[in-house]
Amino acid sequence: MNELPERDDAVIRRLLEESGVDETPELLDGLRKLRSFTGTAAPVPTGELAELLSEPAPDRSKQPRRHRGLILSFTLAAAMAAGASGVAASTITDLRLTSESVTPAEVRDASPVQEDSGQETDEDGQPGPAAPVSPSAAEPVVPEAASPEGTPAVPGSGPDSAPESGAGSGTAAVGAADGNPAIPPAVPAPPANLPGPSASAGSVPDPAAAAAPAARTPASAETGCGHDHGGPGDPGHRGKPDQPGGSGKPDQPGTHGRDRGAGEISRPGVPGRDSGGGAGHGYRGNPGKQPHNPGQKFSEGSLAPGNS
Amino acid sequence: MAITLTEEILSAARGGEPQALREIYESLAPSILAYLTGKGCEDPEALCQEVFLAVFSKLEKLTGGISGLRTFAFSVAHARMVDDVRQRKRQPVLAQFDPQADSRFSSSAEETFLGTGPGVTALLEGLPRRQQEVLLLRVVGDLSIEETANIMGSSTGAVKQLQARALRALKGRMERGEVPDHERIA
Repeated sequence: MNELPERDDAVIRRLLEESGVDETPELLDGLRKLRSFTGTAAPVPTGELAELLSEPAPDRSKQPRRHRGLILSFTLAAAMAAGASGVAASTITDLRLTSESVTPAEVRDASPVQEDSGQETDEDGQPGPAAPVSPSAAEPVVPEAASPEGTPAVPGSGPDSAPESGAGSGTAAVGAADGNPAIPPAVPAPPANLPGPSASAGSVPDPAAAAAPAARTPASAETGCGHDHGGPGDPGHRGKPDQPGGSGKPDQPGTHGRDRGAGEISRPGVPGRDSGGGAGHGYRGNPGKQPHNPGQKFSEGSLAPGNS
Repeated sequence: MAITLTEEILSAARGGEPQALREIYESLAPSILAYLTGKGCEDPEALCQEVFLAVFSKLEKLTGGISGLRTFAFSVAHARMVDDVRQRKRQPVLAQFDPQADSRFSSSAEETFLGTGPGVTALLEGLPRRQQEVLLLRVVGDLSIEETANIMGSSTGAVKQLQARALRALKGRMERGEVPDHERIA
């Protein structure tokens, strides 16, 4: 119990000397016992004292909290700088829309080939300059764009081509399986689309086009064939106003891509341009639903795919 | 398990380091507990923890080093003991007799053989309260006469007189082999 009996005896003897009391063995023994209680074990701390004596585990939990607000504020500022507005309330679809808006070049590449072409030929009949170019360019372009990236340019080819592309990527196969019945009419269109893409290609710098495939890959992987359908919208969106080839027909699937942003940016005043860049958004949001409502206006389901 | 407190430990405890606080607690708690037990407090362990909570909250303002820490700890313990005594006087505890809770017991044969002996209360039983307190503070608390006088609110002369009387009384009882009252009752 007591590790220093000599010291204890010294203290006791000094105490006795101070008081002028003669020491006796009994008294010494009694005082030693009294002093021995100082060497007993301390009672186990409980409650608040135990927390105070415990290891600094709570401090670790406090440290991250100290900087949490700062981290969140920086993250929010970074997200706002990147253009991802409404991050907290946005759904996955919204995020896709945002990413697509950043990469318009992709839409230009794939979309025009399929849908717009047919429309243009029907309405304006401008195939003159565009028609010869489109078939030749469209045919090779589609497989090229689709094959390396595994993207859905295929869907434009219709049910016949669906199985072929399906082997390449599951997403494309799904789009075809969904039955893009609306797509087949667009299949002949490829030639007509050419003017759209060509115009867009001219207006858009090369780096954007180069960046298109890179940015296109993730979106295509997620959305599947709808990605390609959305394409046609862009040419209209960025297309030149003088081009009639815009997907003006409401009943055609390609025209569904009406987007608010498209109308505002490119041609706010042009009524016939239903095939705004938003078409791509609408398709991407609901790749499987679109075929069921081919005649539906794009404006309805463009930004709120869940609603359609 | 004697822990020698140093100024480094005290400075670390002032910084809130748990290990230093624990060393202070383990060094002083037995003495504080023995003091509170010897004074007959109802729940000495709980009071002991309250004492250290009060001491740790005032470490930053503490002066006098280790000696000042010990004096301050016993001062708080004395104040808690006085509060406990006053509370018991105002609100006497009425309870049925429980043999297990009765502290008036004689040491068993095993305790006698192992040398454990009677507790603090038994050793000091029969002495006046202030004499008990002087002996506890001087022997158990290892405090000087001046420190004891400060804690008790008395002069050093009064403490010396109380100490001398307490030692003489204890010596007489030990020499006569006088049995404490509770053992006579039993």
